[in-house]
This record gives sequence, structure tokens and C-alpha cells, in this order.
Amino acid sequence: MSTTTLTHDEAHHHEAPKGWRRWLFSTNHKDIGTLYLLFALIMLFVGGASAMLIRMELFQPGIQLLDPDLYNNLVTNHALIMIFGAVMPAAAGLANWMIPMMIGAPDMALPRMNNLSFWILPAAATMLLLSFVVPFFPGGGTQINTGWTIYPPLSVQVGMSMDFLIFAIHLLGISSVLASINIIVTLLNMRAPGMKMLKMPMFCWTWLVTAFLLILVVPVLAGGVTMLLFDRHFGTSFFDAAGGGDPVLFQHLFWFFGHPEVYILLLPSIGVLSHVIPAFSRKPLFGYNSMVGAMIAVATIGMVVWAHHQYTIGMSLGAVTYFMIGTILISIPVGLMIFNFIATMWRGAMTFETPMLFAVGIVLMFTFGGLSGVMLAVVPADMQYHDSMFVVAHFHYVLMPGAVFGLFAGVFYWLPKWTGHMYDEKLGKLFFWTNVIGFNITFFPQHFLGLAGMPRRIVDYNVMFTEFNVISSVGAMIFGLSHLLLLYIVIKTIRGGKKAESRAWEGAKGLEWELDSPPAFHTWTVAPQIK
Amino acid sequence: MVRSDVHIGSRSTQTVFIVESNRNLSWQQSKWLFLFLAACICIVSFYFASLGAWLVLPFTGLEILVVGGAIYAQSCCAHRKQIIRVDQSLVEVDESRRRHALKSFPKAWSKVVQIHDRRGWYPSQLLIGSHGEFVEIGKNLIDDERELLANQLRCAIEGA
Repeated sequence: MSTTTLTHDEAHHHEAPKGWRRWLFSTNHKDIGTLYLLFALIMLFVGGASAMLIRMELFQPGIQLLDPDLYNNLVTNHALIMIFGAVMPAAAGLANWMIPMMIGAPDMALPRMNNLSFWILPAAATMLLLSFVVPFFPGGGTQINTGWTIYPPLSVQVGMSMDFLIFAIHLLGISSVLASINIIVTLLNMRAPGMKMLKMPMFCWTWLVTAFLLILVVPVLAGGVTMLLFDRHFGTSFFDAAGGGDPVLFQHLFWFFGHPEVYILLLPSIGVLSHVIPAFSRKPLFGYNSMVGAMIAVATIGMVVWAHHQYTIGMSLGAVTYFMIGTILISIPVGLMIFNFIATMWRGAMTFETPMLFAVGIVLMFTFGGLSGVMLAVVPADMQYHDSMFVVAHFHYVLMPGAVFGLFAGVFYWLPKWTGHMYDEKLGKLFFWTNVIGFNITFFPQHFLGLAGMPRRIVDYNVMFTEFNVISSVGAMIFGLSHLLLLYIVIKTIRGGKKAESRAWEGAKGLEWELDSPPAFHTWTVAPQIK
Repeated sequence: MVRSDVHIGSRSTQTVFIVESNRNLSWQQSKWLFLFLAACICIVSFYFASLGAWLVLPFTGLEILVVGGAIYAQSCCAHRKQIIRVDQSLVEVDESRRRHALKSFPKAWSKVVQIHDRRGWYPSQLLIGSHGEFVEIGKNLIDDERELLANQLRCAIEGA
């Protein structure tokens, strides 16, 4: 008996469909990944523009450009667009592109659902933008001046723009849940023969944990905003103390989603780092098993410490003590991850291409954000820092390096694989330095502003805060404009450049590097054998 | 994934095509995965429902339905296995998912038919059979693989 496995005739059948139908009806994981990344890039600029407006307003004390409600609406939109429109879709884009190629699967497990989960996003983004635009029309009501936390009773009182926002949140939730289910099923059922769970690439592990987190927290947020909708329009009093309800309940519902959301944003970037650091240190990842354990620990503890965002609401001493200790405990697995990254670099033959620069930047700056996080976790200290610019500085130091820089590292690391061309390394490094310097000039002074007592989410400030605000605004302009360079680099790389080899980076390991650069339209139609 | 085995016996030659998906989870494990996810989602939701946020429950129910549906659909697809045997006189299609279903056709009258969707919205269909009775094969393959399988089957049946 002889056995043969059918393989493709390489000469044909690999052409991608042509025209708009390719994108609208696509079930190909690479095309959907590209759509996600493109969407995220557009939203990055929309969210970035709102941040620029915020910093222009804060350049000087007094009210210059924006009235207080519009200012707070921009704060709300900036957060929601960046979190739901830019970072999450970008991470989903990386997942779509890379997960099937990394595990040796021909596509995602449920390709049509994959298409649906992407195409819900533009609808959600439209709703989100409408929530910003509607108040400018007659009868549009007041603007969403609540911040992204949309706490009642204020969120019950604002105009119809809140309804658009609630439906946008529902759509975003549906999209996230569908994508998560798809990723879980793909990772658990479609790995190449021989790829046991503990042989799975770290990026896949981080996405598996992220997808579990999303599935657990999204229904709670969906329930919370639906209750808000009922309070607004159907006469219920879920969050109205006068009707027997409890406004604090919404805060619990929101932060049960909101805190794990931080890890949802962070973990995919940790996964990217777990590939970039070993590749450019030319060493295997130090402590693979402990990384997986640490990640699961972060996700598990992160699920049950949500109320550290609510220390000032008047919880019992026992409750705040529990939430404080739980929050501080998270620093142990996070510290273990950082230790593993440093140990991977230790005595490695390191080179500093753009992805590695971002990786080193993340290790330094994310650790800094983590340290200010430990400060905020301590209840008596948090009572002072609460709702100050210190908190703004803290979460930007966590989310920019922890999530966004990780995604940048991933984009630069895999861009040669996606496009078949090497990006311009000089421009990549220039982007890194302008980005990182701009970021630090923007957010580092905000620690001092917060410690000196400047509150956040207020359009005006005392003249004593002027100098640091001027520095911060100048930094924000550098930071914001540096992203145009990213756009230029990406377009330039897509259009041409030095041909990328299959293994674009000397130290890169993994199934994705066995494929051509750019990979064929269909890949791994015959599953590879993992030894 | 398609494997084709050619059995060469003392008197005849039989070509066997095995069409199956690569999969990591058994039915049992898929059930446990669903139960684990559903239990975790329920614990969270019932906790918040007990605090008064009972409107979380419908979303939990919907999510469990979607999770269950997705795992079921994928498992069904992953466990579909078809064995097509072509010998000197017969073409047999043995489909095993949870039950075995065996269909046989006289080789001399057997036809391999590939139907393409006119608008290109749906995957093509590959049918094998004779005398107006056909069975669909290779449903879990991509179009390219299906076309390749069709050519290989035609070769085996027509002896080309």
C-alpha cells in the first residue's frame, strides 16, 4: 500500500478574488486580518485627533476651544474609540493574520462568523461617531459628558447620544464575543498534529486567555448598559436611589468589565513580546511554562479585583482591604513576566531593530506604569490620587507601552511577512524615538500635575498648573504627529522595498516563518507535522 | 485534509481516498469545553443577578447559545470523515461521523460532478453517484482541495 497526501498544484488556485467582493464577503483569515488592521489604523487617527483637541484646549488655563460639555464628550469618545476602535481591533487583526499561520491551520474555525465579527465593527463605529455628532443637531440633546465609564445618574440624564453609545457598546460586544469564540475554537481544535497545548506559540496562548476573559465579562457590560437604557426610557430604577435602585451597582457592573478589559488590551501585546524578544535576543523564551501560568494568574486575579477603581464610593473596610490585597497580588505574576523577558535578553546576541526597540521600551515604561499602579492600589494613597491627572498618567503608561507599543512591535515584526517587503529600518527607528520621546513628554509631567492636585475631566485649571500642561501639550503634538510617520512607513512597505525572505528575521522561530513572504492566499491546507 | 491510499492486492487494485479534518478535541472534550465555559459564564452572571442586575441573565443565555452552537458546528465539521473506495467494479462512499452510512455505486456508471455557485457566494459542491442518486463529498474541504479531489477521483474511476 502506498500513501500520498494531496497537495496543491502551486501553479494555480492561489489567486485571491478580485474587487470589492473580496473584502465584503471575505472568509479568508488574512484578508479579515488586514481589514481589522486597516480599521484600527483609521480609528487610531480619529481617536488621536480627539486627543490632540483635548491637549490643545489644555495648552493654557481658561476655556479656549471647547466648551466643558464638548471637552468631556471628546474625553469620552477618545477613550472609547481608542479602546474599542483602535487597540482591540488591531489585536484582533494580528490574531486573524497570525493564529492560523502559527498553529498550522488553513483558516479560522468559523470563517463566516469571522467575517460577521469584523463587519459589525464599522456599524458600531458609525454609532459611536453618531453619538458624538447627534448633539450638534436640533433636538439632539446634551453631549455625553460622562467619560467612558458612563456612570449614572449623569448618563441617565444626557441626551439621545447616550442611546447611540449604548447600541454601539452592544454591537462592539457582539463583535468581540463572536471573535473570541472563533479564536477559542480555532486554538483548541485546529492545531497542527503534534502541537500540544504547551507547544503552542505564546501569542496564541495570550489570545486564548484574552478570549476567555472577553467571553466572561462582555455579558455583564451588556446587561449593565441595557439596564441603563431601561432606566432612561422604560421607567425602571435599577440605578436610581429614589426608586429603590443603586447607582453604585452600575459601577460594579462596569468595572467588572472595565478592569479585565485592561488585561484584554495588554495580553496580546505580551504575546507579541514573547516572540519579538527571543527573536532579537537569539535565545528561546525564558520560562515558557511560567509565562503561561503567570498569564492565567493575571487573568484570574484580574477578574476579581475590579472594585479598586471604586475605593472612594464608601465600601466596607473588609471589602477595600480585599480589593487592595488582590490588586497588589497581581504585581507578582506581572513581575514574573517582566523577569522572564529580561532573563531572555540576558546574555543574548541582541540587536535593536524597530520591533526590539519597542520591546525594550515596553519593558521599561510598562514597569513604570505598573509601579504607579501599585501606588494607586493602596487605599489611603488612592484616596488622594483619585480622579487626578496622576491616574491619567498611570493608565496611559500602562496602556500605551503595554498595549499600543506591543502592537507596534508586532506590526513591525510581521510587516515583512504580510507584505513581502522589508520596511525602511531608518524610518522605523525614527518613528520609535519620536513616538517614545513624545509619549514621555506628554504623560510624565501629568504625574506631577496629579500629585499637585489637578483634577481630570475638567476643561479649565488653576494657573499654577500651566507649565506642566504646556510641556504635556507640546509632547502630545510630537507624539500625535509621529503617527503620520507610521502611516508613511506602512504605505511605503506595502508599495515596495527590499524583498523579504520567508524567515525575515534571523532569530525568528515558528511555523509562520516557514511560509513565503507574503504567504499564499491559502496556507497550511495540508497540516504540518510538529515534532 | 485529504489522503489517498492505493491498495494493491494480489488480484485487484483499490484506491482509497480519506477525507477528514485535522482536529485536536474529541466529542467528549468538546462537551467538557462547552460545560466549562457555560459554568464560568453562569457563575459570573448569577453573582451579578443576585445583586439585582438580573438583566445580565438574558445576555448570558444568548452567549451560552452562541458558544454552544459554535463548538457544535465546528465539532460536527471536524468529525466528518468520508472514505471513498474505488475498486474494479464499485465506488463506495463510507461516511462516518457519529453513525456509519455506506453508499455504493457501480463504477462503470459512476460520475463525479462539481457544481459551482453562479455568483461565487457559496463554496462549490462535489457529488459522486450514479443513476440519479448522488452523495456530497469533501464538504469540509476548501474549493481548491475539492477540485483536486474531483480530478483524482475522475482519474481513479475512469482509469485515466
